[in-house]
Amino acid sequence: MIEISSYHIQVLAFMGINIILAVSLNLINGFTGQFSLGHAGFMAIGAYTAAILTKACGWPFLLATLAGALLAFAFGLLLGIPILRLKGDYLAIATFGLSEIVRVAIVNFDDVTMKAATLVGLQDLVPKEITRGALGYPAIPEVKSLVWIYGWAFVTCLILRNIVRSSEGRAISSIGEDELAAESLGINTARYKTLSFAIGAFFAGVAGALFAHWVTYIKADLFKIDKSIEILLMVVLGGMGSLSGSVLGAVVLTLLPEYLRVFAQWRMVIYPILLILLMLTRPEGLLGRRELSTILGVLYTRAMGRGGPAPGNPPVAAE
Amino acid sequence: MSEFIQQLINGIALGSIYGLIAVGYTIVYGILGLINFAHGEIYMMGTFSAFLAVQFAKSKFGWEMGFFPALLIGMLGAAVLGVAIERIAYRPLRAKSAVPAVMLGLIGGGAAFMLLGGIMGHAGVHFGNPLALFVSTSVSSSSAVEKVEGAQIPALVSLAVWAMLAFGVYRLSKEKLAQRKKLKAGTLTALLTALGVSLLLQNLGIQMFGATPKSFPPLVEFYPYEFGSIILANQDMLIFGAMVVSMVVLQLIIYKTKIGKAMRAVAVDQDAARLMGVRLDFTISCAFAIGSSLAAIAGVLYAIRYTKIDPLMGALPGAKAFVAAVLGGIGNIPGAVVGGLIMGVTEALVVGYVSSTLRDAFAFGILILILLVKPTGLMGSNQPEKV
Repeated sequence: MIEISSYHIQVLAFMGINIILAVSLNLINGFTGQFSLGHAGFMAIGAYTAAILTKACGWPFLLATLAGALLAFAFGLLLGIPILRLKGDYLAIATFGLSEIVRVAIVNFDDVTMKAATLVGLQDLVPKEITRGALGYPAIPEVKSLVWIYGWAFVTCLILRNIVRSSEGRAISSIGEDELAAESLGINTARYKTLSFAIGAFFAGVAGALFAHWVTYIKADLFKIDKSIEILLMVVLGGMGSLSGSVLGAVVLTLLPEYLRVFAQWRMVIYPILLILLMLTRPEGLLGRRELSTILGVLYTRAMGRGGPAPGNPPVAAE
Repeated sequence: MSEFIQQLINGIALGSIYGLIAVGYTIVYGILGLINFAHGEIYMMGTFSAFLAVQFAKSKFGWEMGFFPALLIGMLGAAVLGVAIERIAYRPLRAKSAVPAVMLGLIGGGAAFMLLGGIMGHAGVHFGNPLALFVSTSVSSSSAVEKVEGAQIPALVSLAVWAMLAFGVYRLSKEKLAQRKKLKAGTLTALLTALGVSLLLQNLGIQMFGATPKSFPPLVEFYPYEFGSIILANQDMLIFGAMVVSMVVLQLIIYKTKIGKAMRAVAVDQDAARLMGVRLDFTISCAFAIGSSLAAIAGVLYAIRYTKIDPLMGALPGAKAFVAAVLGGIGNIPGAVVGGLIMGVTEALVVGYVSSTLRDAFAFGILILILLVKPTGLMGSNQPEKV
């Protein structure tokens, strides 16, 4: 029997948060095919909003989480409309820039609001410290509950699964397959791209709120590009366009750095090497576009002796 | 007014550095269509190789190395690294074979890395690099190990890592090579690989050199020329001059030499260029070497002007130089320089007149604005999308 310490629980909590992040990013990157490098920015928006609401305004946790997520959703919608006109590399860079701007905005938030308030003569009404700049936001009310985290993770997976299977989800997937073709079939690509971007942002906000209340101390530097890349890696490892793949990716990539702790400070050297090797050997990820249930189903039928080609994995034509 | 001119001077110096880095992005993008995210780290590694060379020459031979030898070593170091990265990480993404080269490259890279650590350790220059300790103890029984306890363990770990790598690549070459047709690696795969290389080099840098900033030796002494209240530093002039000279040389290479012609041909159409007898891989390697050595020039100049270097020094200038390249129209060399200058001047003016903490927000604000208004950049050409 493994003894469960607070360390194990912490890892489990981060795993749950990572599942939410990876699955929601997969909607944007995998299904819609829009390369976003800015997921950490939306996470930061959710984290800060929820933290400020519970601590300074005394809101209940669930309400604050929803508020943070809704603000992230609103930002996703607002920023998605202009940004998503870009494609490929350019979109990646623009989303990266956006999340950097969010970070810098959080750091400078107090200064700027104070100056603005002074300009219109409202300096007495505006609190001096809102985000506390680069020092970080301390002493957030603690909500250390795996039930909340895995509850949200379950809800996220459920909602995204239903979205993907709905007719809107098919429209979104068709954009991911071929944007030009989707557009020529009469799909309002701009609308669905923005929608999927905003829904992804919503759940990133949820994850941010959960994260903030677990660690009780956040600062803007936690939500740098590194975090976005980490989430992206989970999506890519699991397979773009596979929800269960993202869950798998999140689980593996949360545990892997913990196992690599044996290597002490060399862990962060080994980690990118493994990533490069993954990209060179299996660029489509562990599951590709398939779901775990499909694969298990195929294995089951094969085991039962009722072979036949696997759905979603057509036999390769003879060369 | 004089303050404005002063900020302009600062901005042009900074902008020249961004421009030099941006050219590397633009060359590689022009030829490969790949954003080389590791370019900022090549800039860092180039600077560090110059730094280590100066330290080494001083501690071993008592030679006070001058500006030009240090610059050349930095350029060489960066060029070797750039070519190695291309071979190991990027080439397998596009090539059918070249995997044996990857394997060789990895093993060679590991050996070179350990050798460097050994030489450095032997010369008594330690940067918290366990490999240095390992090799220095195996080469000669110096007392290096006693300095840091438990040094053998990290050394063994690093050996294990290289063994793992070699094994992985070996498997890759054996199994995948046979059935792999021309792999059209998607944007995502290429971009993630580049990000991985960037992450790897940053962390390798932290392990090798330590995370604390180092003081770069003043290879060119600061000397201010004063015009009234405006101060024009000789280092700023050196930076601008070096940028102009590099650009002239680069233009000559691209338009007057055979390899330059090959590079232009590959940029237009890879397959057609290959059919005409252009050695594709060699040309791409050359592009990486040129871009990387320009980044090293920028790095050494930056280190001389701003005196402090650290393993993460490449991240932000790298990102901003990328913005500069996009601003000027990616793939366009004069555009990259112009973009760099615009970025530098804007940043200096923001620092001078608005707020120094907002400088990065402005840089990325420019990026998003330019992408929305004119995604092909100021000097880029418009390419229609083909189905």
